[in-house]
Amino acid sequence: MTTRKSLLCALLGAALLFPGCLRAGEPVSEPLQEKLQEEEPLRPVATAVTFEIGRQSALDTYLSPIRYRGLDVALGYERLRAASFAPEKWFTRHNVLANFATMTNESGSGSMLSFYLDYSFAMLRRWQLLDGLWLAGGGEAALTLGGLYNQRNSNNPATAKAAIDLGATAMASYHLRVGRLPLTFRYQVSLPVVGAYFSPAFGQSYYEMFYIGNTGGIVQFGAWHNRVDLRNYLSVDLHLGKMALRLGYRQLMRTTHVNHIDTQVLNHMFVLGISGEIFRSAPPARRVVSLYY
Amino acid sequence: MKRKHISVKTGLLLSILSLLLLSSCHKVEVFEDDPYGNFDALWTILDERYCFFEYKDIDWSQVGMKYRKKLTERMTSEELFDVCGDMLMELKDGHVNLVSAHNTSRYWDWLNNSPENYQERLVDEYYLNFDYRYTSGIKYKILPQNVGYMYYGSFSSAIGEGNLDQILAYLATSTGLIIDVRSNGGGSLSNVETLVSRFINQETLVGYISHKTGPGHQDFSELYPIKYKPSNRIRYQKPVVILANRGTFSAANNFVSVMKALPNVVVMGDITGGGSGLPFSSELPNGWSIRFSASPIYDVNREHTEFGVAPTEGFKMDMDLEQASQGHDSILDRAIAYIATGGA
Repeated sequence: MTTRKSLLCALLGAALLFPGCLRAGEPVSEPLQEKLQEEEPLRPVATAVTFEIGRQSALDTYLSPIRYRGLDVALGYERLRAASFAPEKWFTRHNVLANFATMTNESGSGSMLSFYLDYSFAMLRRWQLLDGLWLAGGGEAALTLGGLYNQRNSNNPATAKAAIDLGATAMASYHLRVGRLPLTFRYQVSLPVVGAYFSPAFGQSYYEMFYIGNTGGIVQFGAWHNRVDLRNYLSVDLHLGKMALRLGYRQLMRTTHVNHIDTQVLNHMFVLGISGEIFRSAPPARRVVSLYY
Repeated sequence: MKRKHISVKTGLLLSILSLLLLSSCHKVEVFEDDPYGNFDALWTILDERYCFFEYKDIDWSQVGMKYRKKLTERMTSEELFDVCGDMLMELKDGHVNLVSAHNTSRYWDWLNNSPENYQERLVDEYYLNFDYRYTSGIKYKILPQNVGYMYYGSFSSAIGEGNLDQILAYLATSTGLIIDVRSNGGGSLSNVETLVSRFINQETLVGYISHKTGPGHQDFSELYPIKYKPSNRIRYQKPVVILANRGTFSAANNFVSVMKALPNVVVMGDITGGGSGLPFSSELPNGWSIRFSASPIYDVNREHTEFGVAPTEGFKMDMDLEQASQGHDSILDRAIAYIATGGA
């Protein structure tokens, strides 16, 4: 009796679910497909939060002719989303990176601290080359704030860093499966082209600039003749369920040569973080424009 | 056509890359960590950044050659330090110091070859009777002749506005004020403004500043005026005497140069020690630190005060040591008499 009852329940359940299963298995009718194409697609936000650790090497001849090297830690945030006006072709990217380094000179007699906060906004056009592989290129506006602090200098203990830039950026993304694990490889590169940035004159003190008030000439027009920054970022997202584990490598290069002052700050960082797509709403029948594939 | 198109693209790419390489690979001179490398680094830092070569008429190339001959590959660190220290003496600048783990080079000839003109114990015992108020690094008291007295020993001691209010309120009933900055070796220029702002009644031009714009010995910016605003708190309006000696150096030297130009102020004692270059720091490959004058500060007449500020005409004097042995500071006595007699 018990076996019979169980069988009956299973059959009843299957009978009840059958129409639903059928519906799910049914091909989308052509009018519905057209409707989906016309309807505004879902544009999930692809975000990543990262912790980064590595090495920084800094030379700023306003402070010292000697290069300093040391541990660099950073926190990063990335946000990608398809643009509303042409979601298949264009997308936007926000990047925030805060990094802090503590360094010493080769002899170990001096120490230097460094702090940088970078924000950038980019608009990129993407081209789907193969299934899962796309390239993108576009423009980027960036803001940098920070500084270097040499702990034993007298009236030149620190040098502030502030810059706004417009530049070019490119990105390549390849989504594939290795066994049952989906992976997304990405390479991003940013190259500021023109902008404005702060620099004191060769022997000008911060006392003169900000206490006495002689601020004339402290903002420089920046282009490749006096300033080259380059940001490279290679990452792989290992999709584990809804979220992904991000591993990567970030390299930053900041160089200026102005007023006979040279600045060269290089960062190499290992990236570890989490990433994923955030859906604001998820009606099942809507089309999705993802920046993962 | 296609080939041409490709070559234009390649050319453009190459131009961009070469521009990047040119800029990002700008060479920064690197010196070896050996006696010659460290010496050359020191010489070069000063050659490019020191601000008084022209004013002091120093042939730095000649100086460099003279001392470089004394180097050997196998000299010890201490021997190298001595050669470098001797070279720096040629600058005759109290703001120039080479700092290593074992020693600090310094030029104090201007001080060592002059009368001291100040004895702290003498003032504390015979004028203040070891009984004085003390705040913000300032000793103060109203002397029996109803003359206010302040001793400020270092401009490194931050002066709080509230503390200054208390001091000036306490000294308000005095007939005049003596500000003693003898043997004050300097400190922060912001303390100079804090103090001076209590003795001016309108925005006042107090001097000029300049900075180096490049590595050449004559690469300087235009002089930029330094103006102080009067404090909106308690301000002292009666006669003021500033006491100075050769130990009055750097920020204290600047204070004397500023106060000397104000009406109702007399500077007594000896010529100050100078030190009018705002010091910067740098370092050598072996880790030694070098401090040097980088940015000259001029007085209100656009004159350097690197070698000191002279007392007000007619008020230069040295301390009478015989009287000192009997408990009298003859410089302070004259200042008291000056104020007590109404600034005559």
